[in-house]
Amino acid sequence: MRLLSGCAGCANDECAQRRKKDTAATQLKGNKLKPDDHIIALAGNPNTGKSTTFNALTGMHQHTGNWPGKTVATAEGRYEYNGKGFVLVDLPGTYSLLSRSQEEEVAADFVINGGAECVVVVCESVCLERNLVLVQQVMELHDKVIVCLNLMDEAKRHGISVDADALSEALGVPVLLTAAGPKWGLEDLKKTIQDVCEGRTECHCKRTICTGEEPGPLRMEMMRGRTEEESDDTATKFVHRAERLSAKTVTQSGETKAIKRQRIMDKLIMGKLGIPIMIVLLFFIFWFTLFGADLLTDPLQWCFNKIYIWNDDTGMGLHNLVTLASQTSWPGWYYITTVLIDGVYVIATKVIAVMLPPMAIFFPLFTLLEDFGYLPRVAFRLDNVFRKCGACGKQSLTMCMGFGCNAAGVVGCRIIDSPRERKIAILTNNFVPCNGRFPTITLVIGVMFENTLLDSMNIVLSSLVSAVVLVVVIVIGILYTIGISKFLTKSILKGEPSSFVLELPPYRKPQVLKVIGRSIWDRTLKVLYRAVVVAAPAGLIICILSLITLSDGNSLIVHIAQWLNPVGTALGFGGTLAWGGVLGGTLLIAFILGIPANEIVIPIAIMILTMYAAGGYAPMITEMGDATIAEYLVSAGMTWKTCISVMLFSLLHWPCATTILSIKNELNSWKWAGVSVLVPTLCAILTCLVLNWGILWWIPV
Amino acid sequence: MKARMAHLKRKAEPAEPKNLYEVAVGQTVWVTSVDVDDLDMRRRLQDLGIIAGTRVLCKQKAPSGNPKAYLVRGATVAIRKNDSERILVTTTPPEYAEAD
Repeated sequence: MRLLSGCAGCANDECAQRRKKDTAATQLKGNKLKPDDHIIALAGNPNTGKSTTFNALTGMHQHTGNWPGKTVATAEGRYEYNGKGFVLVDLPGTYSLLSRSQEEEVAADFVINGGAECVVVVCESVCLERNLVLVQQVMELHDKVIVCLNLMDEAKRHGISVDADALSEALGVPVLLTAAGPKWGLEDLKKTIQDVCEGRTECHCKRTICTGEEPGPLRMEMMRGRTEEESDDTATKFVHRAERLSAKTVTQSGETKAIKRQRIMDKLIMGKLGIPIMIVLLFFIFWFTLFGADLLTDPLQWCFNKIYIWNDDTGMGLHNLVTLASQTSWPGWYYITTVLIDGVYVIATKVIAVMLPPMAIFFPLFTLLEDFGYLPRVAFRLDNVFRKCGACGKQSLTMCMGFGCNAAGVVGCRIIDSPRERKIAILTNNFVPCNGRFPTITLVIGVMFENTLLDSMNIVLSSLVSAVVLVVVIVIGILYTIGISKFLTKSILKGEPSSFVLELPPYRKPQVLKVIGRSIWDRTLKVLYRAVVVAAPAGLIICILSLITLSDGNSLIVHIAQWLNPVGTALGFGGTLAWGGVLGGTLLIAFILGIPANEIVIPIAIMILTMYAAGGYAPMITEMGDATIAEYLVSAGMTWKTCISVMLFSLLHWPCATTILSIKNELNSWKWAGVSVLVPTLCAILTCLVLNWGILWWIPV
Repeated sequence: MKARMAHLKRKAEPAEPKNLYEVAVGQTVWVTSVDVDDLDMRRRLQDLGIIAGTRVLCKQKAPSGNPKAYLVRGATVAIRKNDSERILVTTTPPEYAEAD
């Protein structure tokens, strides 16, 4: 025991190294570490191509983007070179190690205690001067440092050249020129990493503050300074040295084509035309998503239907198993097959068919804009509005992501530094309709114009009117986001807008094919995962609720709908009460059962209505087109008033289960997850009540 | 005639800015001091290289004039009014040079 504790505290270098490695091994996820692997840390400023370098070295596919603050947690990957294993740890991008933000703590802690044998600092050659501040700080904390001047291709286009030898001489560590995108200089980097780890290349860090004899934590203390003046002083020292180093090693040769191009892009995007361009771009993305999804959803649904019922006459397909099971002697078989096929299969495939196409179109487009460097500029332009609400301009980006998927938007809120503003962005993200709610809203727009003048108009005109209604709905969502952000600032999340520094990265040409391929694959996996984890259990519950029949022959779900009807009617879902007053309750229970996945709200409502009409259990109808569904809902008593209420409720109501879980994970608190359900729910209920009893009730149908 | 034009031109030049917020788009200034009280924000500005003596070019402004984007040491960063107001500047470059 004593021996052990003695070892744990001893100052022997080898012991310390092994101890560090042991703690590191327990910290590293995924058990990628083998006993004689070298651990390498990858540090660098945000948006310097760190993740791209990481991917290029390890052959992994970490998501990257032209958007500072992409990586918050550390990621690891392993690669082999010359028969040796290397575990690469991608640290969050930081400008320095002196502030105490979450990412900087993570990065600094890993450099000191992570057990990395060497730290590679990835620098952006275009603004090397600023990057050199972090290089110096890492050198203060670690003895083996490699400087990797990345994005050399971009630097070349900008007419910037760096004297790597002179820089290496001045810093006392190896300096390499790379471009991780086109894979320049990566072999050299791998070789240098191995040489440094195995001691063939030596680093003699030329430090400003520490001597190199002190243990890690003390160096950190010295670097951060004990008093405020002291820390200002050290921070200034780093900046001044970076300035001198850069003046000595970087040469800029005149104005190149690339710089001119950047300026032209800036004039276009940041000038007077900026706002119209932004609106056109967003409109194009929505239109393309909706239009493309429309084209793809139907064939996908058709395929799933064919598996479900191949042909009514021959009775092949999955549904036939239910028929077969009903003929067996034990009734249990019938229930099991019904739940699995009519419930789980139908709901899960429905979610895939509705959700996959828009996700697979929206996110690649979004990623292209992100890689191009457009999104931070949107945040810059819109910051004013958000500042007035006590929020952060970056919230506009997470809202844009929310249009694709609210859960993704919530996770994206990591880019917002201030915890208060981040909470606001997370709690209000739900007010932008996601891809799962778009189908509901567009379908209800269809119902609204069913049997009206528009119905008989030509398709171009009617689709234009529908698009206008959709835009109005989106604008209402945005207004709610802004209003509720302001409300939160004045109530439960009181505070001043915090300081705000936003980097506007250079425009970069996105790797179109790679991005599209990659993000379609990512989204497909996400949607499939969601279909299995969230939609399948939902299908199970819905099917069980429908299968249980009470004494009057109606299933439990219909009874619940009838029981909830007064509430639904109060919210304005009641319609003309043509169906014995079940429509209001049906839509409400559909919204409630739609918590796992918003895209199944309308299918559930249709299922309950058919069961009500049939007076017993009926499976969900899978092969109904939008037009048929619209007709059916109108015949069930849905009026334009109902449509407005349903659209608003769908826009404002509680987030889906995936989003709630993401919120819980992001804020690490069930309490805030509860608030995130409560706020939109109250908004939806109050809005519908006020609208119905304040305005719509007075207008004749 | 020419003299009159020159006079007009000089008159059209922006007033001498006292802080970073007052710097006009396209104008280059040098920071004299960073009076931001919040230590975290001051540190963040230092991280970006904004300290006394730093050369800053105002690149763009948002439609409302707040925030503005500045070119600092090769990178473009946007800073809000309440912070940029606390960064004092001058239009004359400082004289200093140190050897590494």
